[in-house]
Amino acid sequence: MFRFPKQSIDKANNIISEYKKRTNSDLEIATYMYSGKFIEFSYGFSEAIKSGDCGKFFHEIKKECNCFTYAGILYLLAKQAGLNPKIYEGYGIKDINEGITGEGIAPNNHAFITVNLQKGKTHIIDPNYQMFGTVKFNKNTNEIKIYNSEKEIITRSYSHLKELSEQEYLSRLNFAKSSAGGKKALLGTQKISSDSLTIFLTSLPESNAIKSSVHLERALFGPEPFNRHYIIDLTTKINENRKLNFPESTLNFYGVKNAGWSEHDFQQVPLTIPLKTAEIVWNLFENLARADGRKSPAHKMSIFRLEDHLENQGLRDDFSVIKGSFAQKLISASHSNFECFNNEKERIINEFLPECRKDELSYKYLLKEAQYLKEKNLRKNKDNPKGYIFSNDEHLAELKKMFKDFRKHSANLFRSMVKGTAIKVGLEKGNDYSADRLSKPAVNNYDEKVKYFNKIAVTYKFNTASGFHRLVDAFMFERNIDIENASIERLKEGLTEEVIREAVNLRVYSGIINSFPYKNALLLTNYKKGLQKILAK
Amino acid sequence: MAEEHNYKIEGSGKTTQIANQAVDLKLKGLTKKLKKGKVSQEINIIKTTYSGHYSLSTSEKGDLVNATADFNDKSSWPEVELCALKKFTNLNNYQPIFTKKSYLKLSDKQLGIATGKGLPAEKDQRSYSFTKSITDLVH
Repeated sequence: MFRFPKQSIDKANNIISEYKKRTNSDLEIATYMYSGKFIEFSYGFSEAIKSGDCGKFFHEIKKECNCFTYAGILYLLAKQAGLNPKIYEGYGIKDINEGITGEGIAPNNHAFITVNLQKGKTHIIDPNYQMFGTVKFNKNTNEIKIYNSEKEIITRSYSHLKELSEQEYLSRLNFAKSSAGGKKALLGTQKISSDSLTIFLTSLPESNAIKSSVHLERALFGPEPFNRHYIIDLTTKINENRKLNFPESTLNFYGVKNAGWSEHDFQQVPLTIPLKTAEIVWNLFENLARADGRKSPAHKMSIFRLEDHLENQGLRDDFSVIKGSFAQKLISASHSNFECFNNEKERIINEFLPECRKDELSYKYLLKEAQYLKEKNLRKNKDNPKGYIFSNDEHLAELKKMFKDFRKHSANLFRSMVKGTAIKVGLEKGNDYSADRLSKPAVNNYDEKVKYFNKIAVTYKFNTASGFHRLVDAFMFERNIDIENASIERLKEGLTEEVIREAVNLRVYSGIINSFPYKNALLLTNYKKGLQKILAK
Repeated sequence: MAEEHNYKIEGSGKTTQIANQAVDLKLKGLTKKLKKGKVSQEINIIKTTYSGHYSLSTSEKGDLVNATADFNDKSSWPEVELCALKKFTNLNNYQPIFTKKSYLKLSDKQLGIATGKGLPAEKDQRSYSFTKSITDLVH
């Protein structure tokens, strides 16, 4: 039989006695637990991986833990406070605010607790998901309705939900302490902070490897059905000495609709580039930046600024080099290296294309990119070196048009809030609850409506001018292509094999430059020792 | 008494076809997982429901009570559309999001494979604001 260790129980009792010095109300105690008073742990799995112990008890944690461990801490506190807690483990969880749908929300696996307070009301205490309020379970629809302290109704939808007994929970936590448990924790993808960036870490026992991933949001200025996120995976084999074999690592780049922690919706065929191949170009980037007098590392620059800089030095986004430029001199000095890269690049393109053609969605997106490239190639001249389809003024007009929409949606929001207030003060029919049902969904819906304006505004305000024009031009061209309904034949119209290969070539460039800022994070510099400890057991 | 499900798969999209496709893909993914886990790949679907979320796309003036509307857990796509037609005078003013949900009864072994991905996770931060840095935008 498993028990919480005495040190953990003592720590929980001390915290509860602090709470009881301040209040006798169960609801307030639950609120203190939700806000983490006297607990002071943040979410994170870095500590567990660095120490090689993935199942820490309350008294063993220094500053952070994952939600499974945190749910156990809250369970223990609630038990000591006499709040009859229950602990749940959910799979495929999505929290959906009223007024929006679950579309675009990636499902997660998660643990949380509920407690019973006065008047028989069940409350959820789930600080990791910012959820505190009364709950109603609906097993018929796999949903939990949460009425939170902000008077909002949130629907927690799940694929599978399991109530864990104390024994089951403790047995699982003890298992996580073991070597097999540590490996299982990594099997389930963990989010860690590496080089101050967020990395998703997963073990792949079938291929005896570790995968570190970055999930990026695409700069979308309008609806996009499938290609909303961009994933970079670095897969590293574990060698016979249980060490990570980074020299043989590979980078994979692909688009997805929704990025989940370990699984994604509508995942496209990845473009695979060996790490050592990418490193040839990354070194070139660094050297070009250094030669220009830059002291801090080039991978700390924004991608768009770096691109401008590379072009000024003579390196274009198709890997061609301007004659007589500094880039050419630098490449000539390390001739064999870049030639090696170019040969490898041809192999990468040759391997990717047949795989991409097998998957309809992936191929459609590639053809769409090739269509844009073809149009740009036709327009390239001295006045329009990038070959943009639309003028700079037209790009700016798009921002202005979206601002008009933003103004309209803002006015709509305020109208519904004013109407809600009129109901609340009794000038219109209805009660407070119905007024909230009018204004709360309107607020959530508003965020959804203005998200594209927010993105284009950020791009204009904080980006380089060339970055803004490039992103908006591609958006304005590509929005006219209906990827869902266009056939492959239609998308292939007017394209040569050469331009399709050019589009893949551009993907190689995009992959290498987009992964450049994340190179140290992906290489798990701070985690090597801890990981080897877990893997070596 | 109707059989109880223990697993749900759902898919959403701007069209009913995308929602159907999303569910099909997830079912395929689950079958693959079961195959890998060497358990029966026969999936028992107990019921399927269809929902539509309509949000006003061109609101200029007027009653904002109908800014969004949900028609949940219907038995087919035509039933969802029929409900929407009854409520709204002009469907063209609304942007729909369709959601299909399939409820499954998996065996204990199948459930273990379907959910056996280890420890749970923290919520993803999906909201985006004007003040967010540009650094995570990609080509």
